[in-house]
Amino acid sequence: MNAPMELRRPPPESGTAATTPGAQAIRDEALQTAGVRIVPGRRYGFFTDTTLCIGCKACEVACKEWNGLPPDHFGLSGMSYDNTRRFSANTWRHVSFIEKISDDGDPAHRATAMPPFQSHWRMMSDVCKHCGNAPCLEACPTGALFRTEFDTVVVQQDICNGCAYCVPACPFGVVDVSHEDGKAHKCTLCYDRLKGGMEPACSKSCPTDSIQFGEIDVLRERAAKRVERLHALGATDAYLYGVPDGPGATGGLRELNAFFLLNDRPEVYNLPAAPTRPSNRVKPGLLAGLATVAGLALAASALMGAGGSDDA
Amino acid sequence: MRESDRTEAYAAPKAQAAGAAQATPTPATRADNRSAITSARERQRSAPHLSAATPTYAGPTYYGQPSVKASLYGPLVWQYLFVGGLAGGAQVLATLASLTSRSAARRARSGAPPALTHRSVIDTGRTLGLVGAAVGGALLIADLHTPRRFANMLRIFRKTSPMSIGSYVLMSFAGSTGLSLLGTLFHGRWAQRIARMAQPVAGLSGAGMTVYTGALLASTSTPYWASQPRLLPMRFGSSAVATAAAALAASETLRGHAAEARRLDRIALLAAMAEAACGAAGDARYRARHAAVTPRMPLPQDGATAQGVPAASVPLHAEETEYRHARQQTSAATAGMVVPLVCWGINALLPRRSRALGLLGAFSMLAGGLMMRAAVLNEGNRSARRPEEYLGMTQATEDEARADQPALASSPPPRRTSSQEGDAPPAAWHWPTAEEMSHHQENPAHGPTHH
Repeated sequence: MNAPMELRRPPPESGTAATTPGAQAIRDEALQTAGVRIVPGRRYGFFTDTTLCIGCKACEVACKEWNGLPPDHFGLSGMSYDNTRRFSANTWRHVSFIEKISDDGDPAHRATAMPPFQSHWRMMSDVCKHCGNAPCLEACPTGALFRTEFDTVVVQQDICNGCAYCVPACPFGVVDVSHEDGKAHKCTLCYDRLKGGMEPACSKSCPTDSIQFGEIDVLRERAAKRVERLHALGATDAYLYGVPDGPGATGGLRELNAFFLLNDRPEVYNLPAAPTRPSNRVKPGLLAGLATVAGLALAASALMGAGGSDDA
Repeated sequence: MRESDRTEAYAAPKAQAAGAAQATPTPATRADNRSAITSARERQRSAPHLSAATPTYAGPTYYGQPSVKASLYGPLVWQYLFVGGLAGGAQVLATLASLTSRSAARRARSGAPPALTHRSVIDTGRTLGLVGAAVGGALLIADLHTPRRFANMLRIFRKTSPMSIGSYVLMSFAGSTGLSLLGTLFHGRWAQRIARMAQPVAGLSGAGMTVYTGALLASTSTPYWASQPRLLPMRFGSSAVATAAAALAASETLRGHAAEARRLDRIALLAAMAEAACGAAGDARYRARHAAVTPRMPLPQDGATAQGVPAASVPLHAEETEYRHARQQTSAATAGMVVPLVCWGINALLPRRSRALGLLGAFSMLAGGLMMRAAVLNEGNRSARRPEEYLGMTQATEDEARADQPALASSPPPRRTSSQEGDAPPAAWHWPTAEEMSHHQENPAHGPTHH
């Protein structure tokens, strides 16, 4: 789609990469495709409005293509249209499909009339949440996981040694270690694209703008307005998952840079309602354990001194 | 995981779920019937170790798919948990022995009755420490998925990561143990001086070695581990001291030092009792709050339709895995506590301590410690694969559940019902008008009703 004249960039200078034949780079492409200027130091993330998702899986395909990810497995899962099943080292976007046959949860009461909104489908494109206090980052002992200048969480592939401690730490089951290359992988929020002024592949390919990329506060304002609008239209079960003090951002996680608009319980989408920050358990655990060993040591030293001697 | 109580998710009575599930036809693809929801009494009979009052998470899951990932840790890791703990505990006991014996030596100098030097305990403890650190380090490096980058563990120190803390604890333990071993191998004045200074460092880092692995497992999102943030490190620490004392007792028995062996037996038994208490408390607490009893069959409240859709590729025989866990724990407990108790109890009564019974008790306690670590690791991985447990564990606390956040409420949010009789049609639903579409003021036009 051609941008109108006033949005076209001025012609690039000669001699740069942009004028080299075959390498027509567009600076700040995200400004045209998402209306976002990507500036290092600002906080970026996703707002995924699941009420707009049509389940086309363009996001999954775009992610696989851009990052060169191999396929995981073939075969139908029997889980509606979700044949991807779960996140893995090679699957960084995962579209969930849930069919709500009835309104009240009892399949015997099949809905006889469907409101025009959402039609009893729940479809959601799940992704790494790029948490505010990311448990994977806090668990990583090598420093491979770090926070980028765009406030996203990325695994550095040349540092990770595959200790796999991030895998059970993630409260959303996102990151995984690949058995082929022995390192941890997850969504990078297209760090390489962000550095080039382009928006992430999944949000660019989303045909309904269900996945919206932008600065976090802008996204949150937009999301709040969308929730109000949905409530006014009668979809009173719409809410935001991952905003501060809301579901998904509990227990010390603070906030999710990739947050969602859902209209059912989080567990329906395989999300925990109130996850916790695992590193809150480090200090109490170590102190309790050391106290126990200290107590046993005291008792042991008393026992060591008791009794007769047989020899040195 | 907060210690405070969590609201129960969807206190929907299990009978309702069972009744509704029996109304749905069992999928023809499933050959055996064990995956169907059994009545509470049948469940009690097949898995008597699980309390019938165990609350279950009766809310929806996503086709029975796990919500978090299980750790990739296997035999290499539970072997390391045992070896590392034993090495740390051995140096803790060796440090205690050297502290007690030094004051004993001072007493001897001042003319008091000759006291104990615990020489062999100190030497064996240091040796076990170094061998354990070396073997443990090798196990950890082998467990990495990119072992050639093992040194990256020391790139940074991250205080939120027990694995980072543990890497430095292991390094300082190995270093100080090596230095302390100089005092065993060489008898020169400098060697003894270095060893005397290194020994307390080895003892303190040894104490770290015994407990940091428990904190490591608890600082994850795996339900079985995360639900015992304090009890798991306490359990691992006591088990490490117990197995170290048992190993030292075995070595003293082999050397013929009966009195020393008897002292170490008592220490081992005391530590094993502490471990059993922490383990029982942790397991009871976990079962009371989080254990899933219901096999993973799509419940009617599931996001997926329950009609004929088989649950996903996760094993449905939850009772079997519960049984296996209970069996592993029981055999660990028997080996780790009962057999040594019996052997050493008999030994205490005999006029002359029996070498065979002493050794049997010691090796049995070592086997019990190893089996306990395997059981804890395997049960943790199993609990991560059960979505009911994690989703049940991550329900909101009383503080978090608020009226303005219906997703955090313990009961499901009120659902729009468009097909219930006797209800007035929900007036809010309407086709958006042209004005609304172009974002002008809301026009409460009435669209077609639903009946």
